Amino acid sequence: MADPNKDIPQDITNQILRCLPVKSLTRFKCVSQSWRSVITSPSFTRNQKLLIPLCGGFKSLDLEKPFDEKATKWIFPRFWQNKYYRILGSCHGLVCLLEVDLRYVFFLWNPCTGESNQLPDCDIFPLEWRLFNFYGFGYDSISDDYKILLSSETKTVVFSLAENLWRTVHEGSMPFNFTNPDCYNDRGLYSNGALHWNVDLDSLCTFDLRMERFQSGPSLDASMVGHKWKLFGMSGETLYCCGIKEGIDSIDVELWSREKYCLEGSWTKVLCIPCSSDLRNSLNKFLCISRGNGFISLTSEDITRFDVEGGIFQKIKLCSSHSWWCECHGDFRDAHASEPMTYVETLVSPGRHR
Amino acid sequence: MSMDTVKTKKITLRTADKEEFEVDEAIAMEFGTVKSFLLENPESEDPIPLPNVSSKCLSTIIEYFTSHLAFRGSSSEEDEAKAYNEQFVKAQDNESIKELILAANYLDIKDMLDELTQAAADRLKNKSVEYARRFFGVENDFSPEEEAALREEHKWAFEGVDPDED
Repeated sequence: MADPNKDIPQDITNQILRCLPVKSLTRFKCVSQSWRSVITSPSFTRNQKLLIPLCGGFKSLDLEKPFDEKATKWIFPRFWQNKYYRILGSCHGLVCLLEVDLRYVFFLWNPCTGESNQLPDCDIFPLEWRLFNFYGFGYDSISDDYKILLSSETKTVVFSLAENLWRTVHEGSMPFNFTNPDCYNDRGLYSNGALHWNVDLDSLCTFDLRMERFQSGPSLDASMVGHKWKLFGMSGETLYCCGIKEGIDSIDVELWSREKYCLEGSWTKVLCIPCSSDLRNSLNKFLCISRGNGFISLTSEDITRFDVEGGIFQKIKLCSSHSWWCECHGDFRDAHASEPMTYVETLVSPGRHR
Repeated sequence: MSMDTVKTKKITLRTADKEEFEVDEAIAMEFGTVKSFLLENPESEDPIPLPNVSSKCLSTIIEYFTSHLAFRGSSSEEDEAKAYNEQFVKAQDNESIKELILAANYLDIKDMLDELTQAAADRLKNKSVEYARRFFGVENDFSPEEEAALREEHKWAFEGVDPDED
């Protein structure tokens, strides 16, 4: 029988579990119900990785390791065929993929465990890919449901994993005017139950996954006003906003974060660093924040991590692009649509919750 | 000027089975809980009670730190420490590893706890589900159908697993 004085407490057990490889963890889901729950929980995270869709498959890069030519690995979901895949989003270690061919097929895939789930086709949306402007994938904690958003000029639809169906939630286009190409992004950033976009360099909008509607905000902090801000990839559930503050005799890069659900909580300044020209050139291409306050930037030459060391940015090249950059010619395969996405390794199941 | 010999301060620790151990202050300060106690009660001469640690366990931990402190400052410290840790861990059976984990947790010795949890994970790595249950003293609360379904779903994870020894 379990003896509280002689048995290992849960937090230590979790520490031991974190040292185990995925195969053992998968097997140990059978140990007990509480073990299964711990192992498949979204908070049981491992490394943060970058998923790069290419013509020949997917590559994953460990963002927490230093530069290594061999750091990228090929990975293939079981359903992979030599087709074009667009990453709609990632959340809790699950990646949402759209396979584009004569038919449009949606998948949820956990690259860490290899499990995947083909979702029902979307019949209610005119799926010519150029027609959907905005999309995203995220988690609604209130109904414990993962959702996909697709939005075009004429319609907005949502897929609910718990209900396993697509629903129209809004007729007409997204009610915001996206006129600034400098901050335009089609893929919404997931954080705390909502998807986020830059409407302009000083304003944001969100799609609330619980209420299934668009709203403006969250508004920027008072000291952020007047400068140019862009939303960047998140780490976990935290939303980051980064911008350049042009002072009288200095230019600084500031990084702000927001922890809570979009309309509650406030912005916290995380960093303020003098801006180097290196950094400035890479600012438009920032992908995400790595753990430990670094930025990951992707350009056509390489993937670079800028770490903050002693108040300045240190540039560390993670991997050179020409070792994986795919030159796709003609038809619909343009680089913008094949944008990489960060994901965190978990053992969350992509199937319907039981 | 007189030259006093520097006396290494000794701290007395009393284990659960009422044995008393006299250790160098340097070693005692490696234990987070003891360190906090000493910082709050610097003048105390009484033995410090450790009701959750057995004498067997404490003497093993003291031995571990005595060796580690001897490596400190040497040029090959990292390699020596690593080699020592490997041998140390190998010499412990499962029950001892568990006891040491509980003691290291109670005494708040982070580095040793990290070594031990990694060692426990290494032991579990290719073992069966039953082995894991026995190691942690966990009861199986799945119905036979549920368990069978899970095993079928994750068949690949059960291939190449070490057979249980006992």
